Amino acid sequence: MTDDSGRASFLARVAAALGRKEGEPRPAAPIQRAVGASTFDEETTRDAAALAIRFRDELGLVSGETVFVPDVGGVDAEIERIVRSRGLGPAESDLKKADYAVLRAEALIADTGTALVIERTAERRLAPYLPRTCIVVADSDALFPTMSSASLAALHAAARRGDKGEAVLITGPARTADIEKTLVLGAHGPRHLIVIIAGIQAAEKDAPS
Amino acid sequence: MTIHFDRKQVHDDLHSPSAPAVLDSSMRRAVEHKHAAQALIAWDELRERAHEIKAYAIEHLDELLVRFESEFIARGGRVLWTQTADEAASRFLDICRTHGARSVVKGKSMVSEELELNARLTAAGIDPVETDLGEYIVQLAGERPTHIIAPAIHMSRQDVGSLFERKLKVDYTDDPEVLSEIARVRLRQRYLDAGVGMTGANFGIAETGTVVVVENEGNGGLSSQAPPVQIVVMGIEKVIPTLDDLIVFLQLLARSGTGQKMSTYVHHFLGPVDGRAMYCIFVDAGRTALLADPVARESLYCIRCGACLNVCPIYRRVGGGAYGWVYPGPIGSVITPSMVGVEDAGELPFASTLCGACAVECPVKIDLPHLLVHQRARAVDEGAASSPFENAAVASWTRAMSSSRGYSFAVLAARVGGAASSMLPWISPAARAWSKERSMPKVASMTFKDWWRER
Ligand code: SF4
Repeated sequence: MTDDSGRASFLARVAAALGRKEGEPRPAAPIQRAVGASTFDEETTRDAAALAIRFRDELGLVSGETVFVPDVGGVDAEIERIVRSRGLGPAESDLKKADYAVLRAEALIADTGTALVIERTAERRLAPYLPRTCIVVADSDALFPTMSSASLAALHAAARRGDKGEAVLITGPARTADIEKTLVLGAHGPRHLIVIIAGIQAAEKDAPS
Repeated sequence: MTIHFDRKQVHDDLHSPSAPAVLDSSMRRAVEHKHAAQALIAWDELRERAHEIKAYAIEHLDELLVRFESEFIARGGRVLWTQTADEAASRFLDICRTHGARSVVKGKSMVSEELELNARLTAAGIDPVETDLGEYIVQLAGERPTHIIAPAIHMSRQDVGSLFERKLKVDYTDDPEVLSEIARVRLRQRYLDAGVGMTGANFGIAETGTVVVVENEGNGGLSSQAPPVQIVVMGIEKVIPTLDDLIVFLQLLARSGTGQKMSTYVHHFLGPVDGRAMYCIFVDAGRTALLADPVARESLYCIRCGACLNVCPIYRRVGGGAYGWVYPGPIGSVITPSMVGVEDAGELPFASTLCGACAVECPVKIDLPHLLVHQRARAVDEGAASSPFENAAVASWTRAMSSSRGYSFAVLAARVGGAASSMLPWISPAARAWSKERSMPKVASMTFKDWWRER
């Protein structure tokens, strides 16, 4: 609901500042993107292996890690391996105590090493932020070259459906440079970000991109 | 309230041994990072696009605001419209009281500084907690942010170390990593205990009614998601038409602001999950005054990236404190006179050399020098430019330049004086402070004209 006090005069002030004539109704035009097509729609390659390597390299530049597993069936074993090798505590439903959280990405953007994560419930809403280690899982189908209408389609859809919660684009572990511009990883969020991409064959791992 | 470009502060800053050095090297680092990140994309084409989108959005602001409102409400939020900073702060307090909040965790927000929200909350017995590391430091120090994206840029790591030692009773350290960890641990429980979480907005998407917040530390996620009530305080100029338009700005904002290709977090608030509440407070606070001015209107395209501060020779020497209000640097000097009134802040646009570096950097291609000149003209027309230093200097320059004899005399005088620095101290205390810290270039022993004739 809207609080009406002040609304009408507020909008009248805006209209007057824009030089609209009094009482002139504004067209309720459908909202369109302001100009042209996105420059970033152009790349259409969906070669998953090449995109996966580009994603890994980009994420690596911002201190995130990427691992490949051949199929979805291998994801749980990979998570277990990560947990064991890093000495993380057992899976914990109380996020305040958890050493790590597992998130599902609805899109991966190779150009920037970015994962699109949508959390729709009260219990999960702090999962991307509270634990020190954040493990993001995605299928290789979720790989896109650039940030574009296509790679953000899941976000569009969630917004259109009226989903609740938060959609967040995550690029690397949390960081700050607020003291003398010196980079410090972790800040208020995770110190480690590991993305597991399922559906990339081991042999493709180091194929030239 | 009268806002002067604070010469006393200039004076102090020039004498504080660390400030300008810290500032200048930080700024240089910021600019270098940025140029590296920009080299890889079609930078100019993007800037052009961003400018066009903002131009469209501002021309259609009335439509976009109404559309945003209806979509935001459909997501389960409430929208409040406030004319003044004071009114916005009052409404914010009303919401806190309605929900019985004892403390508010805050993500980084410059609008909140306009509202003087921390003071208002404190006076009402509600505890404001800044969570962005820079803002947290500034709040502990009882200061104001001096840069729109790096609030504590004026402090050295040693300053922060002794501040933490004094205020938080921890052992002294000047290691940024340890200092950051101290802040993290202190703030963890505050997120979970707070009754209200507040953020600003980088963008409001009219098409979807979603609010977008861009940040790096994770504090924006925690501040917005942890408390049961979320309040977004948003200047009306933040609304853009569509999600596709957002993509253009996401390419520009991080590159311009921090030299990253993409910020760590781009949050999209979809709507309150069960039992929670979400509000948006639209703030005018002088923005419609900018909107009504067909020239100054362009300043509403600003996405608050901070790039124009980083390259501004004035900002780099004196820092943000000298500008006297919330927004420093070139953009601050343009918008402040319209937002708080020319009578109070007409001096600010004169604190510029019009070198044009800001316009080259601005990711939305705002013609800042043009806007600075426009605001100067307004200040002069409205009789609000009262800068005796400038008037006297300009008057004598005009006298000297109005005849070739006058110019020759000035050159002669400078040469006789040996160095111009010896003349400056009698002009004003500010000039004295300035000249004490640096040597003036020696005036050549021969004029170019003489040299040309003799060769
Ligand atoms: S005016 Fe341009 S450069 Fe300055 S903060 Fe705004 S967007 Fe950035």
